[in-house]
Amino acid sequence: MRSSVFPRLALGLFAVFLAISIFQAARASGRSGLLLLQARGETPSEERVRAYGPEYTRAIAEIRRTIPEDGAYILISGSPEAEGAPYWVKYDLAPRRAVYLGELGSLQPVERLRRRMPRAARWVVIAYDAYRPPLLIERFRFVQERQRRQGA
Amino acid sequence: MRELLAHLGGVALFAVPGCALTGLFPGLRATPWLRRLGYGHLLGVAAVAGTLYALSALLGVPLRRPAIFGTAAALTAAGLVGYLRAGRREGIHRRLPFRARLAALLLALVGAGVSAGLFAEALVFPLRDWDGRMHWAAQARYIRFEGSVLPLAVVRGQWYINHPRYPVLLPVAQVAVLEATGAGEDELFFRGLYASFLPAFLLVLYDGARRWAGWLPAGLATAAAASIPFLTFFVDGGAAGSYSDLPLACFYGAALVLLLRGRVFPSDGIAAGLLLGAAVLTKNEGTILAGFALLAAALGPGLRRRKTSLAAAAVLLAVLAFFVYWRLQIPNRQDENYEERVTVGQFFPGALTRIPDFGGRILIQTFLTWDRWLGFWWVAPLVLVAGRGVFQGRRAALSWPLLLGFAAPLALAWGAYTVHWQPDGLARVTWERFLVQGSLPFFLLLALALREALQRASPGWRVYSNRSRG
Repeated sequence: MRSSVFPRLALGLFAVFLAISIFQAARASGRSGLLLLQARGETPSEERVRAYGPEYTRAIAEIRRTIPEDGAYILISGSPEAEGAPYWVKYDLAPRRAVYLGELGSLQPVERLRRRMPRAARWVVIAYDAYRPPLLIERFRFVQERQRRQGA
Repeated sequence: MRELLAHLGGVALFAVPGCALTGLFPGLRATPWLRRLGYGHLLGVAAVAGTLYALSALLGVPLRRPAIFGTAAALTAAGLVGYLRAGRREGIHRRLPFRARLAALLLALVGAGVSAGLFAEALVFPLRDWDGRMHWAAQARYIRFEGSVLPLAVVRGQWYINHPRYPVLLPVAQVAVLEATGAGEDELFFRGLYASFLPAFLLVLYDGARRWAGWLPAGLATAAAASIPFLTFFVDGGAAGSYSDLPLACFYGAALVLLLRGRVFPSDGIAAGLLLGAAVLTKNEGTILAGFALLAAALGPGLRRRKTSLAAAAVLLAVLAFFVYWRLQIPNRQDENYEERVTVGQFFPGALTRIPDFGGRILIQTFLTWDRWLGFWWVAPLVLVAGRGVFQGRRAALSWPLLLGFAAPLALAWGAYTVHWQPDGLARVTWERFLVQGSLPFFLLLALALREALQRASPGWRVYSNRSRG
C-alpha cells in the first residue's frame, strides 16, 4: 500500500494556501464594496480626479476642448517613454489622432521633425509621468522654440 | 443607479443572446443551467462581437445601435428556436448529500463574493491598467468614433497606434456596450463586461472539474482560482483591468472543455469552434492556442470526438480567413515583427542557448511574486505530484491533453523570448499573463490531482462525480 503522508502534506499546504487566499480575496472584495459606498453619486469626472489627480484631469479636459474629436496632434513624451505617460495621454485624447515623435530629450533636428509633422496636426502635446498635467503648445510656437534652442 | 444599470446591461447584451444560443447545441443544452451560464456568456461575446466585427469589416455596416441590437436580437431568436425545437428534456441530475451541498454553497459564495467585489471595482475606478489604456480601450475609442473596425487612425500608417494589427474582438465588445448604453466620453460602462469574465471562467472551470473530478475537488480548485489576486483584483492582467488575457483564457479553456467532454455531439464542435474563433480574434496568441486545443482534442479517443473536432476546425478556418483579410488592410508600424523573426536559424539553437537570458526572470515572476499569486505556484506542483496517478490509467486520456493545454501558452512564451531582443524585459511583463492564458486547463488538472490526493490521503473518501453527464 502507498504511503498517505505526502498526499496529506500536500493537501495540508493547499488548505493553508486556500485559507490565506480566501481571506485576502474577502478583504479585497470588502474594500471594493466600501469604496463603492463612499464613491456613490460621483460623476465620471470626479472619479478621474480621484484616480489621476485634479491637475491632470483639468489639463486633459482643456486639450479635449481645444482639439476637435476628428482633429490630430503631435505627441511628445516629456519623461522616459517606459513610464507610460504618452500612452495614457493618447488614450485620454482618443479618438483624436496622434503622431508620436519620441522623447523630448532625444528629438531630431527641427528640419527633420517638420517633415514628420502632418499638416492636419496644429497642436503639440507633451506628456509627463506621474500624472503631471500634459502641456499643450501651438505647433508653430513649438517649432520656433526648438529652432531657438538649436541655434543657441 | 444609472451607472449600475448600464454596467449590468453591458453584460446582458452578451449573456442573453449567448445563453439563448446554447439552445442550438445539445451538449450545452443538457448542462445544468448555472454552469451553462458560463458557456453562454462566452458564446454571447464570441457571437455578438464577432458578428459585429465581420459586418463592419466585410460589409461596412456602422457599429451603431441598429446593428448592435439587431445582431443581439437575431442571435437570441435563433437560439430560442433551438430550445423550442428540442422540447423540454431533463438532464440526469444526481442529488448531492446535505453536507456536500453545504460545502458547495460555501465555496460558491467565495466565487460570488469575489465577482461582486470586482463589479464594485469596475463601478468605482476609471481605467488604471497599462495595456488597457495603451492599446485595447484606445482602439475602442477610434473604432467607436468612426463606427468601423477599420478606422482611419488604424488603416493610415502615419498615425500612432501601438499594436495596429492586434485583433479587436474585445474593443468591438467595448464599443457595443458603450453604444448600446449611450455612454459619454468618460463613462466606461464596458468595465462590468471585463469583470464578468471571472465568473464565466469559474463556472466553466467548475463544470469541467465537477464532471471529471467530483464536487469537492471541483469546489476547491474553483475557490483557489477565485481567490488568486493575479486572476482577480490585479489590474495588469486580472479581471479588474481591461487586458485581453483573461478573456482569451476563457475562450480557449471553455473550447478545450467542450472538446474533451465525454458525451459530445458533432454540433457541439460548432460551439467549440466559435469559442476558438473568439480566441483568434481576441489576441494574436489565440491562433496558435486554437491549434493546440484541436491537437489536445485529437489526442482523446473516439470517432465522435474527432467529428466534433472537425466541426470546430471548420468554424476556426472560416474565422482565420476573415482575420487574415481584416489584418491585410492595416499597415504595420509599431508591432514586433515576429513573423520575420521566427526563422529556423533564429530559433535553433537559441531556444536552448538563450534560456539564461530569461529563465531567471521566469522563476522570479512565478515563485517570488507573493502579492500576485500568494504562493500558489509553490503549492500546486506539490498537489500534482501527490496526485500523479492521474497521468496513468483511465484518467490519462484526459490529463495529458489538459497538460498540453496548459503548456501551450508557456511554449509560446518560450518561443517569443527566444527571438525577442530584450527577453528579460518581455518576460517581466508577459510571463504571468501566459500563465493566465493556460490557467483553465491547469485548474482542471489540479482538480483531478486533488481528487487523487484526497483518495490517497483518506481511502474511505467517496467521490460524488457526475459521470452520467460525461
